[in-house]
Amino acid sequence: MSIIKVNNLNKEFTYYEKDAGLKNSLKNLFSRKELIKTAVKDISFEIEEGEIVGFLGPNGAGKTTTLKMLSGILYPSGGSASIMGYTPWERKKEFKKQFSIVMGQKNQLWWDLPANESLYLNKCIYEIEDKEYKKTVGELTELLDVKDLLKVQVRRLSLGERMKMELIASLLHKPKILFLDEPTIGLDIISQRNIREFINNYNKEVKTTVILTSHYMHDIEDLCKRTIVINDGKIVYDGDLKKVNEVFSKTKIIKLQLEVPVKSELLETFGKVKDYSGLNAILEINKNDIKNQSKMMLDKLPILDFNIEDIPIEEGIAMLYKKEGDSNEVA
Amino acid sequence: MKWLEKYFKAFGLGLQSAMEYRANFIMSILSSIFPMIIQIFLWIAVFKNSQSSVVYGYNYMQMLTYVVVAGIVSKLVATGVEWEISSDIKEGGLNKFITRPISYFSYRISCFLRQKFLQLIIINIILGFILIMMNIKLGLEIEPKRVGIFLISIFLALILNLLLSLIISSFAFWITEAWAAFMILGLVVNVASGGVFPLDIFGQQAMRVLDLLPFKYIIYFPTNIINGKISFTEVGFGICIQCAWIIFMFIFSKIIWNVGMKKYIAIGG
Repeated sequence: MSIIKVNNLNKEFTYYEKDAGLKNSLKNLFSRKELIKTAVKDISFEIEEGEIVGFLGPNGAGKTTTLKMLSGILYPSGGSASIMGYTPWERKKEFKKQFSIVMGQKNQLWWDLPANESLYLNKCIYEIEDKEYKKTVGELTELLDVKDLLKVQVRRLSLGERMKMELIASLLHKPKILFLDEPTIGLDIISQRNIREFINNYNKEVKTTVILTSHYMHDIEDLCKRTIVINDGKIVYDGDLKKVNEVFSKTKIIKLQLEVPVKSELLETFGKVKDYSGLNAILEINKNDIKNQSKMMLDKLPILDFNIEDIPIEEGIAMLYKKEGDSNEVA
Repeated sequence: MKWLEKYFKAFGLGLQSAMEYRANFIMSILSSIFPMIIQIFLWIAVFKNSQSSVVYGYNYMQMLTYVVVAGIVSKLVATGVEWEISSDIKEGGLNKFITRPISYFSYRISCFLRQKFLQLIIINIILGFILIMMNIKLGLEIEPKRVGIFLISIFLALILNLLLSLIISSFAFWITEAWAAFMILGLVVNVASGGVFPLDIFGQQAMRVLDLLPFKYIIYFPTNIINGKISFTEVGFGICIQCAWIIFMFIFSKIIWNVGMKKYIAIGG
């Protein structure tokens, strides 16, 4: 059974143009120029319990807006969503007790106090039993290796450490669904990896459904079997990220290492030369021709090493982003 | 009782948070002394050059007490929640309340009370000290009964001003850059409450208008309890009106907040 069902969700924003300055602030009290932007356009998907799903997309694609609607922060302009049977924007208390949202750029911890105070506040907010609370905090701090930092003022923690504390704070009440908005933003590679590993393990053990947004490919590639690529408010791809190229790209990459240099004109007879320097060449070749062209190349060129590869996922994604409106009725 | 615990905890945390910035707190108290001194000199000059010993219905001692007490009371009832709330609205701090099982409105009130809890104690000690000094040096006399009623009425004034601030803060739902409005309203409210001058200065007509508004019950009323300007029957009547305003403002602020929240959610943080 799907834990999250989203149907034709829409979100339009009205926003205003305002010139700088106090005078214009007051002027805006009386008249404003109104503009409309559609941030999310008819999004539909379903997510099963225990899945980790990634929302990938460029800045301003509508990832965070979607997440905000799913967590009840925003009221949609149209469409419906059902999460564990609740409509998120009705903001029922029982619903709030069963999910958590972590925003990488916002913190819920008290800036001036040690993290354990904020954790305790969350314990009170979610009405968690003492015993349960101690056990959970113990386990989570152990897993994330931040046991010694609980008593340190939050503003003295590093960004990575703070993110770990945020995660602990959001998992205290054992949410069934965890929304993560850019959880690794601004973190170094090692912290990113730590957070990713933690999320992955936590999902495996507790079976929490995780939905995360990111524009870091690696977050999503590592964590999510399923990725929903959003661009310009629409879903342009829904499935395994590794297969994105099978669906979209018509070409493959051939990497060659030559024994002796050849003329680049000769290489061009086989396909599009993307790079040729020294004895290494990279060619882009149409999928349908790959068999014939390979044979010919092996015959005609002084080849030392020969590799056929898919186009890197990044490029596949970039192609998806560029495509925008045309021919993206997949999903 | 479990549902209340979260607010108690917020109360406690706020207290700790406030104590992290001790120096700031002490400075803010000090900062209110200077305008007070200027006013004292102003009124001393006025009384010296006046033929009558009563100015605007206040004798010398009542006026001095008014200036000192009003200065301190306006510091005491000042909330500053507008700034916190508007930044929560503007920067999306409200989101963490929307997604968690806690009410922002109640949370803010408990945060405010903790903040004042400390100030209330310290400021009352300072006020007590000043009044005793005035008693020794200038022969000021205060009936002990009035002190008790004064404490009740400033507590009510505190609540009243908080509710007023909550209503003013809700402006931030409609104006993104609301600080200009806050500045203006803050000044107007302070003057209309009698924080700068006794309201009698503005004349009979203005008083009749101000009688119909809640502002004078924030500073003017409690201050005149302690300096002995108003009679006990008037005090009793005034406290009833204070309570009535509190009930009205509570309902009004709840309504306006619900409307604001709906707008916030529709537009987004």
